[in-house]
Amino acid sequence: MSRAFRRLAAAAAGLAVVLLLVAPARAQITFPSAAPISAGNVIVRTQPTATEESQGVQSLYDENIVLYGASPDLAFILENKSIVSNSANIVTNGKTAALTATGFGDTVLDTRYNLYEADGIGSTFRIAPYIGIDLPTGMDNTNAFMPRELQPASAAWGTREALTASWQTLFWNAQALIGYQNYASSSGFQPGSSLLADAAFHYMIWPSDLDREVPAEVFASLESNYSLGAVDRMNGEAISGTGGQLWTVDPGILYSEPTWGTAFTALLPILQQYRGPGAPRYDYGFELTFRYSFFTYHHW
Amino acid sequence: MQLISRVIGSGGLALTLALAPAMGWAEPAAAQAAASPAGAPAGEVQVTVLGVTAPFFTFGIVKRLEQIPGVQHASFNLLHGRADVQLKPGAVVTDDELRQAVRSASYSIGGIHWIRRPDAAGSASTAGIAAVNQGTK
Repeated sequence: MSRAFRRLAAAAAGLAVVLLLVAPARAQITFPSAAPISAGNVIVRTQPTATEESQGVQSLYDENIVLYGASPDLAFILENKSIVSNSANIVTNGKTAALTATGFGDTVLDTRYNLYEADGIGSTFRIAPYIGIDLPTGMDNTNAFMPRELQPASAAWGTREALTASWQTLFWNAQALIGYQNYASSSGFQPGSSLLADAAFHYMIWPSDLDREVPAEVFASLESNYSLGAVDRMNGEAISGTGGQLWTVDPGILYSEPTWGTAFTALLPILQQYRGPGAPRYDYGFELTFRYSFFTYHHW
Repeated sequence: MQLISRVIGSGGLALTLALAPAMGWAEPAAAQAAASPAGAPAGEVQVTVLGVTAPFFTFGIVKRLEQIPGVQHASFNLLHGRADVQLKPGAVVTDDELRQAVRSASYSIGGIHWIRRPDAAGSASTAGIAAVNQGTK
């Protein structure tokens, strides 16, 4: 049974890779949670994501995340978009040209503290606040003809504060996050701040017997991501088509073993209201996640 | 049955016993360890861990327990929230070390149930002894 599911997961992962090669990509899902991280545990995740939007906007990026358990209650999270490639049909002097901006993205360093914890046999409820800083490590002008908001990186310092909660049981788990993201201006460009509200539900669909050493599990997942953003500004002037609200619902499937896991998630927009005309609208997106866990002896 | 009787009757008993481990008919691992060539007893303990919900999270607690000096192997039963820990022959592990490992893994301890507990002198209680300790954080 285990072998059959491993083959199925490998086949699904292979199919997802093929889809990513032909489908385009942008938008963060799988938000930070309050799930336990052991002291000395390092979890590495890579998440290639592709989205397709109107006006020929296609985005493809690979987000790499490293989580480190510094102590039973304190964790550090480093998020970096290693490669970002945005394409769009840009109209200049009445002519339309397909342009692409490719380069390194920005980095976020988060600190998470386990504020509240209620554990039972096969269950845990946890609340953890996050404080993060956005580091302008990426490229903000790789193609001078592309609009600023379609460059691979913002070049702006920023902060992120969030409160996240997780309620996990043997058969399902639920997560929620509410947060606020704020940026400083850079070279006259001021990305709009945003309010984030996320929720996710995972339901175990395999195996049915847990009264043994369980080698792997398969979950069906449904995630909801909502953001309410202020407009981006250039030299104090609002950029039309930025800001507003975006709500996506993301169904997916997750395969997880003790040391590694993989997930495939579709990104489906439910609500899109932007401030001013001219905004590209999300059509759909895909995200593939690979996760690997290992231990180091170095911790507090 | 007649064939078995003939094998045993013809001196096949020694051969049968010699082949038993290779055929998977041997005693459980813990019992083997208890009768290791060095003659040193191996301890065995069950630790109830609260908060573990999936295989991905069992990795942390199993790894933390196996990092305790003297622990040979640990496995986890999700349904009962129980870590089964086998010690190396002659090794002594304290309840405090087990509690510390569970907390380091970011979980809470529900209890410690010794199946076979070696003492500091290196001897052990006979196999099959019931719980001698229960602890809750």
